Amino acid sequence: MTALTTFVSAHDRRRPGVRAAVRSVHVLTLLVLLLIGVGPLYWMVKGAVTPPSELTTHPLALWPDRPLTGNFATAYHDLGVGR
Amino acid sequence: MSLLTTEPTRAAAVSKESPAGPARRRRGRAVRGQLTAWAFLVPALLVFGFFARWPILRGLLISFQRTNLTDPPTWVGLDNFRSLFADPLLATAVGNTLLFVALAVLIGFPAPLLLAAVISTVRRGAGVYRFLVYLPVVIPPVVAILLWKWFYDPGSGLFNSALGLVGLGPYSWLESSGSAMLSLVLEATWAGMGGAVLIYLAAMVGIPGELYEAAEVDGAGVRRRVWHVLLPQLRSVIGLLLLVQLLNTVQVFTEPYVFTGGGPENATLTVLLLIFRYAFQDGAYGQAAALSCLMVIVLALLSAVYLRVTRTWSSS
Repeated sequence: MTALTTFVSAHDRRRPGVRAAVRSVHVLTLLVLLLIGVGPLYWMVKGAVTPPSELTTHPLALWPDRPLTGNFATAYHDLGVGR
Repeated sequence: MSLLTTEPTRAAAVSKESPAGPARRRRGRAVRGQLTAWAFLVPALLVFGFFARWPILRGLLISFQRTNLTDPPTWVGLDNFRSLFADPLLATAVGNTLLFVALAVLIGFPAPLLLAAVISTVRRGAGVYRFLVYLPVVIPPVVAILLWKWFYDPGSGLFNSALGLVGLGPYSWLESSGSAMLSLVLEATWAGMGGAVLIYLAAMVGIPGELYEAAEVDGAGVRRRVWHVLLPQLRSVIGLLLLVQLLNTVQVFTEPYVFTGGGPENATLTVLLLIFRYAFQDGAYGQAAALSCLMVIVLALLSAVYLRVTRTWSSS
């Protein structure tokens, strides 16, 4: 997007206080959006490859110790997703 | 409809080549144009009539009948409506639905506006923000709800585990009647925010930069530019999205159905879920149809407001 004139003008952005405030709000928003946008999707993928026992013993682990790939094959063949 | 049928005749009259041609031929062409239009129209009318209009009429008829959908129905007058209003669950369901609407507007309405305002000031990488904010919308609703149900799990759920690290909780998100509805609204807000943010962003692009420049020259700070330029310019879009959100949240069904099934103690039983229960658990199709008819009246009123409001905006 080209430099759109918004409620924060180019003149405002040259002031150090405003610049720092705008920058920190942008970074904070990006972090929150990563958390709520990518986070749940990642957790879904993680859950798909985690053995059920590990889900209850280490619910906050970012990646399982022994990842399973069999769930996808089970879903495709046994549950008939592919049909 | 009348517009569709008159359109070809006018087109035929305009495309006529000889200006002083006999009137009979002109009329013949007009009739033929009409016939062609109807020939194109009839299949669509039949399909719409059979699959869209007839079920609506059927629903109205069933609300005055007692039927199990296989034996011939008996007419019972207003009995379905009477037993509907005698059911104490109706008041519960209406109250719960209003609570969901109120919470969804309170939490889910300002959030996208705020996010869009922030994203509109991003100079580099605004596409990344837009991508991230729209990501939850592409997850199918049932998948998203099951995922959140797992987050809310009191034992090994993500939220309670994470909050336990800082010494909070454990909270019974979906299990207590006090917090169940709020938990539903949080998920619904997360799932539905993306579309509203993109609409607000598009509306913000349409605000002329001169307005901000003029305000700045007049000495308005950032906060006053938001209050006196941004929000007034977005007024119509804000009202529109509010109405759309009202129309959508009044019909909430998937969240209570998949998350809680209406529990605990009917704390998340909404009107649509009650209709579903009447029809597919109790087999009371007449009562379900009666409640559906009342629901249609409410939705029609909201839609009428929506149409009226958008018409005055588009003409001005």
